[in-house]
Amino acid sequence: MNPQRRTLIIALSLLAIGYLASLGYIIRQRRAATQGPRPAVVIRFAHWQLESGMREAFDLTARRYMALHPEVRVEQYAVPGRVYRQWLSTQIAAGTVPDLVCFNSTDQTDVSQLPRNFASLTRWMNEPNPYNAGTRLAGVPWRLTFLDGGRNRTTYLDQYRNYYAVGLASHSMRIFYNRDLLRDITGSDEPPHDFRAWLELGKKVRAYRPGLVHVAGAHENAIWLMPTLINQSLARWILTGDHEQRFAVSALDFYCDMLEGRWDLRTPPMQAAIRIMQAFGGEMTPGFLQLDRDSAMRAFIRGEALSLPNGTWDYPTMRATAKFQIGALRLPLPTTDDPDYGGYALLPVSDGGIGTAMPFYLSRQSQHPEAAIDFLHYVTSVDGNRLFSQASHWMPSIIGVEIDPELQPFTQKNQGYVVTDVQNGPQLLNGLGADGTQLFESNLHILYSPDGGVEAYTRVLERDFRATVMRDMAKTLHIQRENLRQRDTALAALQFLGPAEQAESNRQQSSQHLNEIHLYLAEGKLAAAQP
Amino acid sequence: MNSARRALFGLAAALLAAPVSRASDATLRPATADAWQTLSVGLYADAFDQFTAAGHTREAQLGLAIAQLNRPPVTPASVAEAQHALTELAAGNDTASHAARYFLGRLQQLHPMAPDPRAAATEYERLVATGADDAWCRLALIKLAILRLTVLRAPGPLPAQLAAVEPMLARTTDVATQHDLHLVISEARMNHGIYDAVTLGHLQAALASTAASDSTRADLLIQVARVATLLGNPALAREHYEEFLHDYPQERRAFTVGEALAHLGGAFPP
Repeated sequence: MNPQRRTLIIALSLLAIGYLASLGYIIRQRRAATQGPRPAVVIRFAHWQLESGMREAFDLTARRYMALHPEVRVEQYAVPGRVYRQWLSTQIAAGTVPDLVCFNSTDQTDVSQLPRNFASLTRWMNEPNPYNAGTRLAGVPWRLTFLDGGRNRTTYLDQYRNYYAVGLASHSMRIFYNRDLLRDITGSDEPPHDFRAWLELGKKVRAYRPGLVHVAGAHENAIWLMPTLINQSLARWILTGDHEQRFAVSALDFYCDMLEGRWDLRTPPMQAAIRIMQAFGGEMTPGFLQLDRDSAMRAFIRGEALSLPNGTWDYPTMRATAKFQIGALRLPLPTTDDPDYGGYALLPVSDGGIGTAMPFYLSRQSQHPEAAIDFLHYVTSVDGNRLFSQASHWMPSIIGVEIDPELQPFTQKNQGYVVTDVQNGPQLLNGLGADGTQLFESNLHILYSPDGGVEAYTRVLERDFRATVMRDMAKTLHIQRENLRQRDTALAALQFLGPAEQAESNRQQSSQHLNEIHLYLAEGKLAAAQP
Repeated sequence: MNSARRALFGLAAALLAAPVSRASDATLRPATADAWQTLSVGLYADAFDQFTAAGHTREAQLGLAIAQLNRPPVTPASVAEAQHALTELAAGNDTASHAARYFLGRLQQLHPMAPDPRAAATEYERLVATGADDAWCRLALIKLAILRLTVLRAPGPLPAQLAAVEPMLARTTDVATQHDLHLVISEARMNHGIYDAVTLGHLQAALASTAASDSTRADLLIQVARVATLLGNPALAREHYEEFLHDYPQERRAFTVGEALAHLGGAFPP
């Protein structure tokens, strides 16, 4: 037999063995799944959390639940984040969407579509969680058992004044650092606490080893980090735009002020913001805007960067792969007396308000809504959430559930000022919409180039800034107008149903009126700003 | 067959036919309530089909016209068709007629191609003038107020323009409608930087008629406290800040409110 023929036979044999082994495995799995009494109810849930240990934590929680309810089978669908939206759209269109769906979007069009596909949870949220019987949360309405009272941007939709989801976990955003490397560089593993000291650390990092980077940068890191840093650094100034006296400023308030001439890019706080962006970007991996999150994570894990801005959801993965101790620091802010960057912050600053994460929605297509809610009750009970949190190494969402000691340094710090947040507040870097984001981001290279800088960047931005803000505002207001129009129809329909629906319609009309008057006030300012 | 037997058969047939007819009605013609339910979740095309199948009652015709307003594709022709149907329904003085008039106003106001707030205000004014004080008239009154506070302001200086809306409060006795009127008036005044006793009065009136579970209550407590502070009434501010901290200790603004309370005598933020 010639060698070529022998290689071919070996390859084909290996292929056949692999095929038969896979076939055997599938048959065994199928048999195991179908043995025993057939469950009366199957609950399916979908998510995209593929971080280390997450699928196992869901499996463990589901198994514990099924042990309590042998008549129910809970099935997990872990779908990669890159294809999750398309996958979900396909399932919705096909009528095969799982009973419970993890979903998160800041897009106004997505939000307006949510009630079409997912059921309101309000009636359950006002009742106690039965799995909390015998705990200190016994008899407490379900919504009040969550750290945030069940209300955040994803779980409670202001526009509809209803609860639509419950959060299974909570997170905080931190700059994670290599504790061993920090000790080698500075002689201490204590991180810096303000922006100036943090910049000084950057100099030491670069002097310590050629090629060592202070912050492993990536486009995704930058787009949440910089607006957050700037919002927090300028909170005192931003609060001057709170004309309706709520201690909260929206992006529309902020940019309407710009159109009315209250500020521009040359206003001192805006110049400080651009200086902060320049200084911060200088600490990140060169060319960070072209890098993705995974490459930043790899650089950090390999010890090529001292630190990595990230959410606590990635901590289990980092912990499992890093060969060094990991510490975490909050975003370092400029001190009040810092001549270049300071004077506009409100200190102490909050992490952004208590909020839960990983929101799960109940599909309108669910054949077993009561059973699906029962499963959610279990995962968000004191016992169930403790089990899930400990297994996943994600922080709990329920009051009184102990945080894993390992995660305690990352606990949200909410004793501080917050006048906005990254999602719906003014984002100086990201602007009011897509055009603003593009204007700021596509010119960032000017800020970081040796012959560029703050003045050159400002000059380029201000050429199109006003027109860009006006275009973005017009698009935002158009979407709001469309949402109002569609919501009108839904609320009218409720008027023709029972007394409960009529009461609900009347209740939601109040927020519809408020949204409407804000729309008109902003439209008036936009019209007045037209050349 | 004699006439008695024929009558007996006829009676039996009628008795059998009645439930069959009712059953087929229920099976073939979905209840209008189902169609409204479908419309309430934004399934416009499905709701349109259900209203079409529901027959020719005025309620079904109204549902059909409202579904048509949003049924894709929304084109000038489809909107004109809805407008025509609503105009026909508006002639009358029942619930369907009032709802149709309200939606004619909404159509003018939020028209996808050519919004006309002035025409919308005329529709609302006509509806309010009926004096019916039903759900649609109440809504029309608030929408009219919103237009007069913004795009259709009365002549004169800004305070006078906003003050011209105040008499609308007397045009309804419904507490919820008055609440919403206080809310939109105070919102407009503050947006223009008018923090006076009138604004404070509207905020307090809105707060007084806000349910404990209402999501605007936390905002109103802060707004009353802050405007009271600006007007030199720290006692009123303290009362409302304290109520906020008691009722919303977990709210994201709780720290800020606590600091504002601590600095009531001086500048804030410190």
